[in-house]
Amino acid sequence: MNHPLSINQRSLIAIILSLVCFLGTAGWLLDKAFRDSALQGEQQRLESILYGLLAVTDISPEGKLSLPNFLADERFNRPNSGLYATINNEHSELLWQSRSVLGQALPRLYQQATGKRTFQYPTTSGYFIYSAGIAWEVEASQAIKLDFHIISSPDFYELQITQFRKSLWGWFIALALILLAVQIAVLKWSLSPLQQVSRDLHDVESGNKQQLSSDYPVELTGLTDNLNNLLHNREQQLSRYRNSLDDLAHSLKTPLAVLRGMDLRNTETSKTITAEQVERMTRIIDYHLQRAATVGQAPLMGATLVKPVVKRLMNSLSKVYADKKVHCDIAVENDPGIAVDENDLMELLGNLLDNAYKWCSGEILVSVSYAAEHTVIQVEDDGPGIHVEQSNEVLLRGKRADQSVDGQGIGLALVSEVAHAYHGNIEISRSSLGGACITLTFPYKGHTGKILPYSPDT
Amino acid sequence: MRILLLEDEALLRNRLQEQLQQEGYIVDASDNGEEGLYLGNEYPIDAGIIDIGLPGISGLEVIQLLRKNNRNFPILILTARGRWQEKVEGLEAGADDYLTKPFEVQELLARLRAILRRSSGHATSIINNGPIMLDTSTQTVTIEKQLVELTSYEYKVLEYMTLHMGKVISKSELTDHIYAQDHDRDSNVIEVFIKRLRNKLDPDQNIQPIETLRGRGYRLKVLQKD
Repeated sequence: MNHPLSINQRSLIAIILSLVCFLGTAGWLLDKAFRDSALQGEQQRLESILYGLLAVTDISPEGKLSLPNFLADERFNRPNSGLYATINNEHSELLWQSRSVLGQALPRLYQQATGKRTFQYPTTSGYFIYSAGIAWEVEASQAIKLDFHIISSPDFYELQITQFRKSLWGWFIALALILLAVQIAVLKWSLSPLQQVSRDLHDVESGNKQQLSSDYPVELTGLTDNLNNLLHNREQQLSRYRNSLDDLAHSLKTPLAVLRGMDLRNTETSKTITAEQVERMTRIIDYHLQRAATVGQAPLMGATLVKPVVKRLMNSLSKVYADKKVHCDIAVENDPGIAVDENDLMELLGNLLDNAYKWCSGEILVSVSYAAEHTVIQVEDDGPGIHVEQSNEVLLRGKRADQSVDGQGIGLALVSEVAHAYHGNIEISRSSLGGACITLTFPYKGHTGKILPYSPDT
Repeated sequence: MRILLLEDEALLRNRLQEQLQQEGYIVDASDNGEEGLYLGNEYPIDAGIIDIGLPGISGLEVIQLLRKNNRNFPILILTARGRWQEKVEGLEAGADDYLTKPFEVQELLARLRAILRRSSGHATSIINNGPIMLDTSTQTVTIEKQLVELTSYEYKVLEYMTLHMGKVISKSELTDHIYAQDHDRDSNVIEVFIKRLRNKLDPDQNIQPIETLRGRGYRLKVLQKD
């Protein structure tokens, strides 16, 4: 299976990429700025050397050029020093060159217009060349045109750039490593609550803890609260299963005891007793199975619409009780739904409606009303109804399912169980139709599924 | 009456098959949905008893596919879980009644008779046709409140004709619904049953309840109540 990247990996990749991009761009910009300023510095240096050369240049009125044998800048005197100067006339004929040019092949030098100065980068010629076209006044109204060329090797410039780059990238790499370390520390710190949740969950799993502790950062409380709800719900469900299993085992013991204690010599009685006890055990198993299957109140539960469930049941039951002409009405004003699992709602209403169809003479009314703090579902019929003493007994039966249950008993006991799993309440009264009226009250606020504290007096 | 029985548990299926046969039904039994679907589509079935939890094609799907194929015989579903969701799904798929396991065979037989009777449009187990009264629950026939002694095959023929009162029924249709498939289909036997029924129901030849339509079959007349 392909695991998605962990949050750690994602963050690290993002941090590294952004560091590379950011520091890379910043380094490139700094490098460029430095190169530009170094170039400009080189130009100014060559320009000032030119002025120095101009200062010592002298021309006789006949046009004879004279310069000192040794110039002040030592580099002009030493051959192959990296700094050279030439002076050409207007026909590009060499008039003078510095001693350093000796034995050196100079790049091609171009004529300059009078008054024009150019600066060539080493990209084309391998040298920096600063050239100036100068009209030298010999006499009044007579000038000689001279081209001065200062030529410099790029060694110094390149050394400067290399040194700058070395120190720039050295610092940047150090900075990147520091930033990375800081980011990793921040990441570890930010993700530590998640690791805490995972550790706590592990503790819950291994049974060392019942619930996740409650002090998590606000971003996680939504998750942890819901997890706690789920855990709580699972705990409840487990205990319901345990209780059901326990009840089931215990309530099966009585009929089993009866069967064991049977006098087998008396075959007629034995037959009757066996049939009775088998029937009783069947009912017990049915009851406990259905009770255990109840989903019950759970977090994150959506709303179930009541009307469609009633309709489906009505259509189904009218098939089963086709011999009976039953008229079934549903009175639901609007149906925002209640926070009861659909299966459970079907179990509740199925049992109530089945009883109603079984006992009615022909009229059934199902009404649902949503009040601010609770939902009331009523199922009424025009049958014989249930007596008060009987009704208490029926509702208590939940705890005494092993006793023989007749007619509406087992169904209502189950309904009562399921309703209680949702903190609901069941009441049996007499209907205006003449028969039984079963009222279920759920402490829910409409479709929001919010559970409100319920008190039967409200 | 021909019953389709789909139940994957061999013990229960065999027991039900025996009991149904004892009651005079012809039973086409199977333990899986595929074969059940074939039987349901190809045989002249009068009613089905189908377990919801079949392996392979589930009982629910079998019912849906049969109904889709316009096989409209009544169906009784057997469920082990007894949850309403399952019952409702079964009934919505096209079943007519349900029974939760475990059940008494007597209960199953009563439900079966009820859906058979309902499917032919009769509201109670007692079907009156003039002076003739047939009770499907006790499988008895009376004329003018006098019990008529019928053999099991005679009763089967009369019951089938009563549930299809006023309709022409061919000899082969009667044979299909009264005999298992491997039975020797001698149409003379049906003629013998019809003759005996005529004698027993109408010894004086006053009402002549069973008509013979040459080359087409028989028809049980809808008689006026006197």
